[in-house]
Amino acid sequence: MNEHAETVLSAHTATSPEVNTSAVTELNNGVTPRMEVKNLHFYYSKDAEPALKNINMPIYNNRVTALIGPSGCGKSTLLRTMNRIYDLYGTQHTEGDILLDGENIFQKNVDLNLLRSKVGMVFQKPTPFPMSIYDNITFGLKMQGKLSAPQMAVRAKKALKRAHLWKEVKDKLNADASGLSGGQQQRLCIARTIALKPEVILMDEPTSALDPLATAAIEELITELREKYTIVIVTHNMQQAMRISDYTGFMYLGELMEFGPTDKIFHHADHQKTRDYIAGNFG
Amino acid sequence: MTLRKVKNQAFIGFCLLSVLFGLLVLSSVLYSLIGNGLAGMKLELFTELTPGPGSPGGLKNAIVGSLILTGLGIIIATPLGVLAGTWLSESNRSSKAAETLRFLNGMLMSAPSILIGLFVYELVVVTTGTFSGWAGATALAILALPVIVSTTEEMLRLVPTTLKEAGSGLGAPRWRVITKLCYRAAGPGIITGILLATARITGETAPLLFTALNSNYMTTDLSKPMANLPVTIYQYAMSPYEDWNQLAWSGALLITTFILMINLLATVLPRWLKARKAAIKS
Repeated sequence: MNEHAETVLSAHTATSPEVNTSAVTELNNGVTPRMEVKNLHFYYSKDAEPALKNINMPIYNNRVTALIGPSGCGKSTLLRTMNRIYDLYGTQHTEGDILLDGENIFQKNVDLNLLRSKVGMVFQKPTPFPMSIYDNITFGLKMQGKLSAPQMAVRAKKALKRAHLWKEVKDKLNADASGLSGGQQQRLCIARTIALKPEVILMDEPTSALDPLATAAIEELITELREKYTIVIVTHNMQQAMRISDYTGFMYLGELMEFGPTDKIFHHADHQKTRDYIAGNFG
Repeated sequence: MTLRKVKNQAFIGFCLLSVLFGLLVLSSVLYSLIGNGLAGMKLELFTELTPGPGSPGGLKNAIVGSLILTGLGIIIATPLGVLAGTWLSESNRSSKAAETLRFLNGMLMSAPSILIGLFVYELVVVTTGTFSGWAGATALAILALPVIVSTTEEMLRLVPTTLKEAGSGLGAPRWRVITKLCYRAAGPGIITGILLATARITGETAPLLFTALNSNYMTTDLSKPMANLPVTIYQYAMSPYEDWNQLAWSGALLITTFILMINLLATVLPRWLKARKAAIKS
């Protein structure tokens, strides 16, 4: 496709699923990883087979990283380790490290609530809270308890504007959030997340429950948000991954088969499996 | 007509007959209740105390006593029941402790109410040495408790996990997710459960016989025996005096109306709460 990717292909023709992250880092024109996944294994219960096997990947600062792969390959699981939301269910555990700004998020003294306000999450189905639009936006801020009411109002307005929702809701901030359309609800969830000024935003198939128009709006938003935030998105829609992401990781049976610039993964993938998946031959 | 159609018609016919039978019983109970009770529905019923045989009077003390006992019972049972239901739903659901508690709660729900009365008699009446309003309210609370526990658990289970994860994902601690999100989402259902529990304990006679007993005086002193409708109805209906019988009918009509209203409220309130939310939207 482009020269850049061509050189990558010739320089990096490894066949093992072990991803050579240093080679990827070189391609990066000085962009540093915001998060780093290192030798990560994930188990749903004590005696279960690992659902994630030895994952190594960087999450680059101010870039969109897409995770693709067939159902059950572990992409959502990987996403859910990044803010430790799996901790809500006692039986699951991890081995290995995930570094956020160089700090291991699995350390014992990590404040989970703080971690989750730094690493926000947007879910597959819009999840408006059963309260007003305004209360939805300020929910996380109230939990932090750092801002005064006027400061919160300013922050809420900014977040709604950034999520392109302000014009549509500015006259009904006290209306119940469930009255919004699906696409609006999802933008509300994104606004709610960015109101906390996170560093990373995790998105788990954020458009799979939306119609094409709403999907386009969210994709546009993601492309804009990348200026300020680091984004990791799980998607089943390969066109979407191609349109919005800078890096793509292809996962298969709990392993990260391949990771690299999106262009390369989609046009010059190293692995036959990746090429087959992208060509639609399975999955 | 084919045999299949005959079978079909016969089955539907039997179903219809069963419904009619049930309705017949219910309507004849209501018919005799209204027919006999309506005559006594006068102002004095609410303003006069329970009389001696042959003299005029009403059910004021019994009505007030019943409201106090039922209200207090629900006030005691609600926080306990809601918290226990929350624990069952939000802690490890399949743990030994949760399974055991759920099983015991089921037992308590189907326990004969007279047993609860005897239990509280031993626990409160014997130790304090007197029948009392407190003992009555305790017995009613124990009866209401399992209903509230199980409806709270069921309703909280219906709250989607994604909602809880979204709350935690914004950095909210577990307890704030429960109090701010889950209770809000499950609120109408939990309120319905509390109302149904109220309806259930309103008409209970057996647990009050050994606890609150009854009284001919107007009292709000919970450390003394307290008048209440069910026991009054029981005593007056068994008596040979016609005016007492009349009061019993009226009391029964009163309780039935009250329970009917609570049941109606339990069906209407959640819908009304949702409608109100929709009204705020537009």
